[in-house]
Amino acid sequence: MEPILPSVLYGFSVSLHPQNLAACFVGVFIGTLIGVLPGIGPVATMSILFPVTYAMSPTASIIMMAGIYYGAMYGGSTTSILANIPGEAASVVTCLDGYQMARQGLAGPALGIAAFGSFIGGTASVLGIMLLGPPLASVALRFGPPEIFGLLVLGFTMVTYLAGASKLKAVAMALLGLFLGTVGLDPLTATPRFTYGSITLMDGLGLVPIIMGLFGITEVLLNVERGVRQEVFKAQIKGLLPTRQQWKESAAPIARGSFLGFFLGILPGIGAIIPTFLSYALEKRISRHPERFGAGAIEGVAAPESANNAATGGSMIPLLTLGIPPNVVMAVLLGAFLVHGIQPGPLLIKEHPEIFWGVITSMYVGNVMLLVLNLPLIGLWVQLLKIPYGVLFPLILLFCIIGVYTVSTNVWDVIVMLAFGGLGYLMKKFEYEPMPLVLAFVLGRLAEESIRQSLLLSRGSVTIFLVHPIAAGFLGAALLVVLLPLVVPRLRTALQMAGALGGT
Amino acid sequence: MTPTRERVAAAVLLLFGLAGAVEAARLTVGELRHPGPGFFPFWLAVALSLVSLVLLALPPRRIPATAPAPATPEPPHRARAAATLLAGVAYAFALEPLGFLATTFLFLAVLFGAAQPQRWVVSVALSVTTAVLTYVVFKIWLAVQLPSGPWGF
Repeated sequence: MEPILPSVLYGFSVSLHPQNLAACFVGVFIGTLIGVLPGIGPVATMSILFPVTYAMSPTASIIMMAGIYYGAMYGGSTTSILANIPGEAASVVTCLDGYQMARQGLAGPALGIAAFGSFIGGTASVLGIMLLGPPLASVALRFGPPEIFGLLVLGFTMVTYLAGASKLKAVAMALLGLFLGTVGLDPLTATPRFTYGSITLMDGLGLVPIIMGLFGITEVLLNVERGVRQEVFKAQIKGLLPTRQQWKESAAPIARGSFLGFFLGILPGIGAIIPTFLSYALEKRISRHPERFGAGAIEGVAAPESANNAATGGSMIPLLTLGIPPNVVMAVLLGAFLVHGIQPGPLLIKEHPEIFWGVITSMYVGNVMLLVLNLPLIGLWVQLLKIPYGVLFPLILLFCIIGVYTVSTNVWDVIVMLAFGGLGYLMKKFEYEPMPLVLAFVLGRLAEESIRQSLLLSRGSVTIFLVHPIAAGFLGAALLVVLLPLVVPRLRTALQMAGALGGT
Repeated sequence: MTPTRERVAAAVLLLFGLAGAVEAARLTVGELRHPGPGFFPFWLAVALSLVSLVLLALPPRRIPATAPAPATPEPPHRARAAATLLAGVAYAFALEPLGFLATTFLFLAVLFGAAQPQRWVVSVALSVTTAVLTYVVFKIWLAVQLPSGPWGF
C-alpha cells in the first residue's frame, strides 16, 4: 500500500487553492442555507447549481457540490432545535431532544453540541475515506462485467429492501427506472430505442431533468398543496459552548454515532437518514436513563448529528472508488462528474488524483468552515426561517427551470422535468418511492452493459455469474439480504422500521 | 389508501409494462448467446408487468396502526399543486417566443400574486426585481444561454 500522508498533503494543496477554497465556502454556505430552509433539500439545490459548475473546474465543482450535501446536514439541525422543524429529513431525530433542550433554555448547548458532533463525525468519515478508499479502488480495478453485475444486483437489492414500506412497489420502481434508462441509443450497437423520431430522446432521458423533477418539483408541489407554515422559537440563544459535564455526556455518543454513520453510509440505499434513527435508538438502548430521551437528553442530539455527517462521508466511498452512487445525492454528484466528462470509479485515484484527494481534504476544510461559520451565524439562519413559502416556491421553481434549460438549451428537457415532477407527486400519493427509480435509472446503462458483455463472454451461459468468485459473493450477499430477515425476525422488524423511516 | 386506488396505480404500471414489452419486442431481442438491443428492455418490461400483476392481485396491505396519522388540519389544495405545475409548463413553452426576461416576470407575477392576492403591488415589484436580478446573474454575469424575445431581451 502506498503511504497515505503524501497524498493527503497533496490533497490539501489542491483544496487550499484559492479557487477551490472559494468553491468549498460557497458550497457549505449554500448547503447550510438550504439546510435551514424547509422545503428545499440538497438534491434539488445541487441540481439547480448544475449549470453554474460548467464554468468551474471539475475539482471545484465537485468540492462545491459535496459542500452543499454536508453543509445541509449542519443547517438542518439548527431548525430542528430552534423551531422543531427538520430542515432536512436527516435532522428529524434531532427535533426529539433538541427542541426539548431549547424549550428548557438550553438552545445554546444543543446547537453547540450539534455543530461539534457534526464536525467530529464529518472529520472521522474523512479519515475513513482516506484509509478505505485507495485499497477498495485497487480491488475494484480487477472487476470485470460479471463482478460489476453482481455488485449492482447487491446494490439494487439493498436499495429496494430499504426504500419504504412496500418491497414489491420498490421493485416495480427499480424496474421502471431501469427501463426508462434504456431510452435512447443502445450502448453496444447504437440502435435507437423508444425514441420515436425525437431528437431529444436520442440522447436518452436526462438524469438532471429526472432528478430535479422527482425531487425538486415534486417537493414544491407537495408543499404548495399542504401550505408550509413556519414558527420560530423566540428564545435567547446563549452559551453555545457546551459545558464540561455536557461534553462528558456527549463524547461516547458522538464516537458511536460517527462510527455507525460512516459504515452505514457506505451501504447502498442507506443515505444519511437511517443512521440518525439507528444511532438515536442505540443511545437510548444503552443509556442508564432511557427515560431522559425525548425530554431533552443531550446524547439524543449529539449522536444522530454525528451520524448524519459521518454518513455523508461514508456514502462518498462507493461513488469515488466503484463509480456506483449508493444514494440519490451521490447520483447527482455522479451527474456533476459526468458533465465534466469524468467517470468516477477505481481509476479516479490514478487518473484524477487532484479530484480524489482534493475533494476528500476539502471535506475536512469544509467541516472547519462550517464550525466557524455556523455558530456565529445562527441568528441569521433564524431570520431566514421567516421567509414565507409563497415567496420561496416560485423562486425554487424558477431556478429548477433555468437549471434544466441551461444544461441543454432544450425546452423539452424542461417538459421532461415537469412531467417527472407530476409523476413524483402521483408516486407520493400512491406510496411509491422515487429512490429505487432514480438509482436504477442512473445505473441502468452500466447494468445493461455488464449483463450483455457477461453473456457475450460466456456465450450465453448464465453460470458465468456463479463461477466468478467475487460476482458469486455479491449475488450471495444479495440473497442473504433478502433471506436473513425472514429467518431472523428481530432483524426484520429493525429493517422494516428503518425502511419506513428512510422512505422520505 | 383505499384498495381501489392501489389497484389503479398497479393497473397503470401493468399497462406501461405490457406496452413496453410490445415495443421492445419490435427491436432485436436476440438470445442469451447474443443479446440484442431489445434484450434488456424486453425482459425488464416483462418483469415489470409480472410485478404489477402481483400488486394488482394482492389483497391490499393493511397499513400498520403504528403509522402516524397524517396531521393535515385542512384539506390539501390539489388545485394549487396542479396550477403550479401548469404554470411551469406555460413557462417552458413561452420561454423561446417571449424571451427570458418577459416570461420570467409574467411567471413570477402570477405565482407571487396567487400566493398573496391582497398585495399585488408587492408581487409585481418582487417579480420585476427577481426577473431583472436573475437576468443579470445568469445571462450577463454567468453568460448562460437564455433566449431573447422579440424585444431583444
